[in-house]
Amino acid sequence: MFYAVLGLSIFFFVGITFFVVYFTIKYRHRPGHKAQPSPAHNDAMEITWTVIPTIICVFLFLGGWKGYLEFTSEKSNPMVIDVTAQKWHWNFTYPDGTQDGNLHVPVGQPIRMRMTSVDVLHSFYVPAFRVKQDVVPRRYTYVQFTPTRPGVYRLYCAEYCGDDHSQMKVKVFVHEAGGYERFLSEKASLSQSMSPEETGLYVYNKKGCVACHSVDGSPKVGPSWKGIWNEQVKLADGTTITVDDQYIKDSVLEPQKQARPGYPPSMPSFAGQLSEREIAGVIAYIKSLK
Amino acid sequence: MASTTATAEPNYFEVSKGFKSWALTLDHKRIGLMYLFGILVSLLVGGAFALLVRIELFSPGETITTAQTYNRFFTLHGAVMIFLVIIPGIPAALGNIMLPIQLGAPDVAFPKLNLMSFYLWCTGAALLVLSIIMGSIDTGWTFYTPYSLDPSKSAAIIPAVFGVFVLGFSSIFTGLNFLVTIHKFRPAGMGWFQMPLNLWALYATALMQVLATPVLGITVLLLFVEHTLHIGIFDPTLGGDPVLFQHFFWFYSHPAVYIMIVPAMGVVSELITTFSRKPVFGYRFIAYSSVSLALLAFLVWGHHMFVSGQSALANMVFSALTFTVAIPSAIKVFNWTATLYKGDIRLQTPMLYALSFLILFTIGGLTGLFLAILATDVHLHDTYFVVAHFHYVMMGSGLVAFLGALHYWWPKFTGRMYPERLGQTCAVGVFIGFNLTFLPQFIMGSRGMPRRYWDYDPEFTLFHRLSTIGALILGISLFVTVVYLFASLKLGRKAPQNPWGGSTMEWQAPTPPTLYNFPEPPVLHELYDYSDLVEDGDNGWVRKSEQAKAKAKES
Ligand code: HEC
Ligand SMILES: [Cu+2]
Ligand SMILES: [Cu+2]
Repeated sequence: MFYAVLGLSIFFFVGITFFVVYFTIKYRHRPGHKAQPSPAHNDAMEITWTVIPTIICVFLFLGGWKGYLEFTSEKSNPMVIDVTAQKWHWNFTYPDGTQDGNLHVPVGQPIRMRMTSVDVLHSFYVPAFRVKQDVVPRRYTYVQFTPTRPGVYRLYCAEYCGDDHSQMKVKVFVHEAGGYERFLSEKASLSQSMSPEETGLYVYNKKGCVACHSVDGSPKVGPSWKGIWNEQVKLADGTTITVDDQYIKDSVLEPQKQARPGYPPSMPSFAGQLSEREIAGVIAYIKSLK
Repeated sequence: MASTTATAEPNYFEVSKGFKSWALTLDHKRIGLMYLFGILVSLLVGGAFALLVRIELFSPGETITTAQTYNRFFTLHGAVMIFLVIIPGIPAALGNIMLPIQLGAPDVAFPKLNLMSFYLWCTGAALLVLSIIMGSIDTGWTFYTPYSLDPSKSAAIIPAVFGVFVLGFSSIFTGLNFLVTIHKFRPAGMGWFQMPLNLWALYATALMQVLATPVLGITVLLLFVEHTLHIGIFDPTLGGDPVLFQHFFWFYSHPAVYIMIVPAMGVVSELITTFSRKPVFGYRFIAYSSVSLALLAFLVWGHHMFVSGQSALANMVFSALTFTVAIPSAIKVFNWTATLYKGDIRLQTPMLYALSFLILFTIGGLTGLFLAILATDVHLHDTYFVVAHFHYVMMGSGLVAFLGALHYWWPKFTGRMYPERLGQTCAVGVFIGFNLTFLPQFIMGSRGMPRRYWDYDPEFTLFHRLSTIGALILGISLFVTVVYLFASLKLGRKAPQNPWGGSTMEWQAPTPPTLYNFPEPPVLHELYDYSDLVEDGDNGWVRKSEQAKAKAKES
């Protein structure tokens, strides 16, 4: 389709440019040259060049519509992957519950992505698959594709979403037979073998905390994690509270409930996105940041 | 000769002097000139932001600034160029000056309203400046929710949104004024189909301004209410719908594209006929297509939202409707090209711009097809392909036509000629620079380079570099243009009454016009008939019939 339209466009472009340039040269002003009379309109000609583009447009529309239906119609037996988009990273949840920040799919398998955003609009875009779909907060949107060639592709966020919009790009791994299963099992053993602190660091980097929290005391959107363990902090309602296991867990699951004064209420809830293991990891990691 | 008797009366610069005589003027020409000044300054500001964006993109990663600052740059570039430059460019500045004169009328219908529009424009511009001081918006000119609802950014977003609201009213009042003027001030004998095509275009534009802009007003007002009162309209956490905002927004902003391009088409029609000394081919088709574009523009907003989550049925309908705007556009291009046929073409600066327009608009229009076709738009949406496409339409066509019109009428309303050679050079510079900037972006976009990216993958470096170099050429050409135009006010050769041999009524007014434009009522000649006009050295073009009459009187 793209090339058909490209060809058509080049044809019209060359045609029009040719006539513009040709007329300009042929009828340019020079001594002795005068404008010659020619009809000021010609209905037959004008109707022709109204009707021909109209017919072309009808065909273009139908072609585009057909192509669009092909990739939006439901595929049989798709593998459903849940996508959560968030400033400025992606989280993919595979059918068995495994989560990862990159997208892994087996070749030849129809995939259906069920997507939602926890904050602003994002857009799921894999140029190589020719798919794009906005990801909207509090609503599911879907996109489908069947990867046909193994390899590594780029996945971008295509809807402007703030500071690090251009960093919201990850990789799509299209695995050959067996590769996807290997990824799942490696992932499982990796997370089993990580110490709690390592898990916390992993969460910090891969689940987007890094966008708003620093670990060296420098200010970001939210409070830094450095040296907060066991400290007294002021809450927006005037009370103070000690940063302990419970407070961290509550902050992750219901951030606005014990909000801190002077910070925007911008932290989304991570309920359902972090496992118990991972929350424990965050606690251990914050504890380690003296 | 007509011009010698005319100079007896003071022209509109001479009638009164001093700051107050300008600040409180009701003269459409002075108001138009003040608009023009504001717009040219905004053009330089918006252009400077564009260059900063392009320089940042010269290399991947950080080149001159951080992602945060870059996001502010491209937002300000878009907001300034759209709301302060292109939308008011042809109608409010040049239209204001030329519309009454082209009608042979003394002023617009409501001069006081006209002055108020201008002050609203100034207020809107001041509010945008205020928002820059308050930390500056980084939402893109589109203000998409819920991103634009972030309370930590209220301080900058509220003044900006309010500024857009006020600018909207400025635009509505101008539109209203023009509608009434065209209805009521046409001289006896000038029916609708004896009107210059520029007036048809301004009429169609005014219609859209009056009908579409209120929707923008309401939309930004809702955004404002949501920021201040926290009522959930677009914010999903308060039960609002963020996609609703896009519908509202594009309901205005698609017609806005035509508010920018239809007047451009109008002036290009004038330029092409004058400089090829031929009547416009298929006048009626062009006139009708302006109006049909204005009406169809209201039905296609959904093509900006093919991947927003709107239903497949809506996508189908909007895709089909979008093709309907391709047809009037195509007709116009064919008719303009046919106008050149057997003409006597003079490549002065305005004509160079008009021909650039023809080519750039063709590219802009044809690439629009890729975006109207559902299957290809899904891939190309929100990539550099779209960026290049709308720059071809809005800048390559809108701004280029504005520049052509500016050079065309400059002698008439300033009384001075601009330097012709330099003008031609810059026009060529604009054409080359523009294409070098945006052609590579089509390639990048079709290869998947998303827009509004501060950083990019190394494979796109070459294209970004070409684009940046093009932008510099373009920027220099535009800067030189603005400088020589201002310089010509002092240094330029005195302009004759009719330097280009135009056949429409404005060329019968003295140069520069008097306060009420015509010391004697102008004569209505047949539209676009050049057979009576001959060149007379430094006096520009004169009518044979009048020359003969004057001679007869002398002897
Ligand atoms: C969009 C920005 C943002 C992201 C992403 C974010 N946070 Fe926060 N976070 C905040 C802000 C703002 C606060 C302070 C206000 C509040 O408590 O709601 C905060 C507070 C906290 C606190 C309480 C700290 C204190 O000193 O009171 C914890 C613990 C926390 N976040 C953990 C996390 C974890 C774990 C993640 C990643 C899984 C994360 N945050 C991601 C913005 C963010
Ligand atoms: Cu994004
Ligand atoms: Cu549009």
